[in-house]
Amino acid sequence: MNLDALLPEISIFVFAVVALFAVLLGKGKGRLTAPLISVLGVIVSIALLIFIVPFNREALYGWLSADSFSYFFRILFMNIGIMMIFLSADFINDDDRHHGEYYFLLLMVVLGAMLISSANDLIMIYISIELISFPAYILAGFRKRDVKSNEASVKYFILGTLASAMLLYGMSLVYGLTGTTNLIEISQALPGGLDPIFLISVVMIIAGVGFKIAAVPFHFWSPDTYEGAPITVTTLLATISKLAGFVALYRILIFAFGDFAGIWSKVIAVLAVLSMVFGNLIALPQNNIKRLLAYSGIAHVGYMLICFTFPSADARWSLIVYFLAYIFMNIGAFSVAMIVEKTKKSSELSSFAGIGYSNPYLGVAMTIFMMSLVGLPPFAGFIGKLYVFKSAVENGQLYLVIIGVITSVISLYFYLKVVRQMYFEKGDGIKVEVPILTLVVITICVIYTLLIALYPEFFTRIAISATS
Amino acid sequence: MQVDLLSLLLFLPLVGAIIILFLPRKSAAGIKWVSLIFSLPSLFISFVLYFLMDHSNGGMQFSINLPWVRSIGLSYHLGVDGISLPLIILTAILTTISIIASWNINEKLKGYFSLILLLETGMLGVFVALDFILFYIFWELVLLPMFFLIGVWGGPRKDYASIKFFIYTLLGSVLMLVGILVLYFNSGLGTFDMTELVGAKLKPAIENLVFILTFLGFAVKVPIWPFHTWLPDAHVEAPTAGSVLLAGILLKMGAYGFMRVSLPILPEGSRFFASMIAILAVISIIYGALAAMAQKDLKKLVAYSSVSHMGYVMLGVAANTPAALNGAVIQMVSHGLITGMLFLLVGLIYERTHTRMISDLGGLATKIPIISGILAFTSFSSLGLPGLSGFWGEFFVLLGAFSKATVFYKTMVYIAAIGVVITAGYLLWMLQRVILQTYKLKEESLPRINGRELLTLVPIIILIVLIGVYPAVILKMINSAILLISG
Repeated sequence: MNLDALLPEISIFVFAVVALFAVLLGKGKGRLTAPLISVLGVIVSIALLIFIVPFNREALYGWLSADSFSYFFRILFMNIGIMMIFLSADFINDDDRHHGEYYFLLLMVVLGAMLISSANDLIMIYISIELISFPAYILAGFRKRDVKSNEASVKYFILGTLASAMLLYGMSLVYGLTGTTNLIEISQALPGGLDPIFLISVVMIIAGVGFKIAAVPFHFWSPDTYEGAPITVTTLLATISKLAGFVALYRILIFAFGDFAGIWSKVIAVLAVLSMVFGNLIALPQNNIKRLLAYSGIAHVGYMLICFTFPSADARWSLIVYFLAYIFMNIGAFSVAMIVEKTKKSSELSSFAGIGYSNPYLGVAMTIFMMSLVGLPPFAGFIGKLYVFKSAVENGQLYLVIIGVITSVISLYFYLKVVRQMYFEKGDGIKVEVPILTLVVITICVIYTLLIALYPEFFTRIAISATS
Repeated sequence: MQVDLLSLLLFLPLVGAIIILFLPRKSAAGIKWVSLIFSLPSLFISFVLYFLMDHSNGGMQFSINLPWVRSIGLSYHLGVDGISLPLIILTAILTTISIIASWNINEKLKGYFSLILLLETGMLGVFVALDFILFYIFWELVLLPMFFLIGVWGGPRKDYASIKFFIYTLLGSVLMLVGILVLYFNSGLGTFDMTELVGAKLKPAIENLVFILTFLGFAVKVPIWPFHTWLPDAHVEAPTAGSVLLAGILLKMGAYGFMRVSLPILPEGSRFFASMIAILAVISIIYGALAAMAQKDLKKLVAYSSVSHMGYVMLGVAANTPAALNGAVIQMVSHGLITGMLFLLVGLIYERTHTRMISDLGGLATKIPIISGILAFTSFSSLGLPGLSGFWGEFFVLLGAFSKATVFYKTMVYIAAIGVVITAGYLLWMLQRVILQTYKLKEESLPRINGRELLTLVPIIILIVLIGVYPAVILKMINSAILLISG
């Protein structure tokens, strides 16, 4: 049994346990020790992955396969993890207890996302999804004296377990049909022709993952959970958790059900249209930045799902580029929202009033993120949408592109609501405090949001090599 | 290796915009001077290009073509020809003038001046980009600065006007993007390069689809009736410099799109839809003129006159004969100068009288004779008085359209000619009510024009007269480029 391909995962786990016990056994609340150990753990894991771990190996009897796809996503998830730890170190303050537990759970989410990136087996995918979901349920309710945080957690937990059940049911049907849980073997063993049981299993799996990525009509938990959860956890849900869902979808649909694209692509197309239309329309009247970003996230799921509606290599790397753009502009937007909320004690849009003048840099950064989310050039979101729409037009999905661009224009209105608050309204003039680590994260996000748009070639090549 | 003039032209304003962001907020004069200084190199380079350019060569000159995103075939391809260079010079002149005209802006200076310079980069980029996606990026880059200029420094209904402007024009441009993508995949050339796409052979149905999609993007920008409703709102609320650039340059981007994209790349589509465009153009001419006549607000009057005057440009595009297209380009340049100046004058009058309502004004010639005189001069140019620049554009467009010698185009020309008469009507009536008649305002005297204000007006006056008396200064290069694209 070879575990060397799993070294980064093992290292993350070890460091997570160390962080947990260091705080439990040490004196004080561990406000600094826990994030320090966690960051160290992630950095060690990245180093292990880059320098030590052999490429293209299988581990755990073929449950995991370390291919270029998993290599890319593991590095990506660990980098997001570092940014999350930075944000948490600024946000989870002395009033909160259980710092050790917080970072332990955070690293478990990262670990789950890393495992799902290389999962090659339905059971592994299921376990990884649960490894992401359970810590996330707890983290959503981390502020245990806050009623909204509790509500967020319970809602997320109940709907999340329902989704897991559906996913598991779908998987069991696939097992019944093929007698195996290995993705590649499934693709070979699936009977030709349209089997109604197979159809049910496809719908069940898509519905189960649909909950995790918050695609319409499986999105109902997301605005409430995003609003109630501590905002760093919201960021976690919007980035790692959502992308891990996409990775699961990618692995199952492309690797196992690749020959049946004609069937599932239609289901996905329906979800894509619903997500784009309803995500953007319901976002219009929102007045809370977290709810607004929740619906914005739902809408972006719609754009990303377009890539699953036709089989093409272009679509796959377009999706990866879109992921990159999505991550940086979202983490950036959430970071700004986080420090504004912390200073103004409110996440209503009106708390952004006048920030463009009291904090010029934050104003410019948030404007960049918002415009990138709309998909305006010269920002990352534009390149993401350009690639997705380009491959969709190439594959004759013109109607999806027309819906996509028109809903993008609609989305301009609610993203501009934030910008207008910052520049067109006079605020209370209170300067928002910008902690140093958050500033670093915001700056990284600004740089990447611009860089992806100005030199897309580099990111495109990475995406192509990750999906080849 | 030769100095890459176009990149310098394009990015020096952007450098200025970034430098301004790092200047101390309190040094008002410093910010103004830096922005002025960074607008000058582009102005200088645009004139250098004029003198270096081979006016008898209609092809692309000063080209630079570097690969940008190899994976999907994007390139950093810039170049100018006789159609784009007059517009580049116009952009550079009007931007510098806008900066001088904004000298009395007192709040949020850093943002204001860096946005104007950012806007300049966007506008110049549209006219020099020859890669379709690059063109689109600059096209969109213009929106954000203009949104802020209207929304932060604008009038009472700035919130509504700025967002309407943004959403309306974005809707047009995203459909244009879809058109670009459809074109890309059906051309069979695998390139976004506009100069190569000229050779694309498309199926008629696809070509018409692409034409409609790009048409929507361009038509909103021009704007052609019935896509014009954002324009009066945006103009009325925008600060003076915003109005000048909006009317002077942004509207030209749409018409330029027709000449750079629709006519050469989609010739069959252009032919198919020519009559429709001609009808919309003539409706714009008449409707814009009648609407202008009905306005009570001086600025709105100028805004609707833009709709009317851009109608001539579109009529020229529809007629698609060399004479008509020459006229269309001259009309674009001339309208940019004339309307830019009208907005400057409205701004000067408003600063003095604090009203733009025509009914409140009157007899201004007795209090501010120079401004009134220049207003009269500009209005005469705008209504097409021979010897001033406004004449040649309308003349060539009507001549070119008439020479098509079909009943349809002759009818169109007859109706458009009525528009000339209505234009004379509303402008003269406006002059009568604003500078003649009796003086009604409370103020005993109004401040005379000062040197800085004169500096913003005199260059435009000179150009209006120069083009009016000797149109060959730009006509030769325009004609060489037009001969390559006209049908």
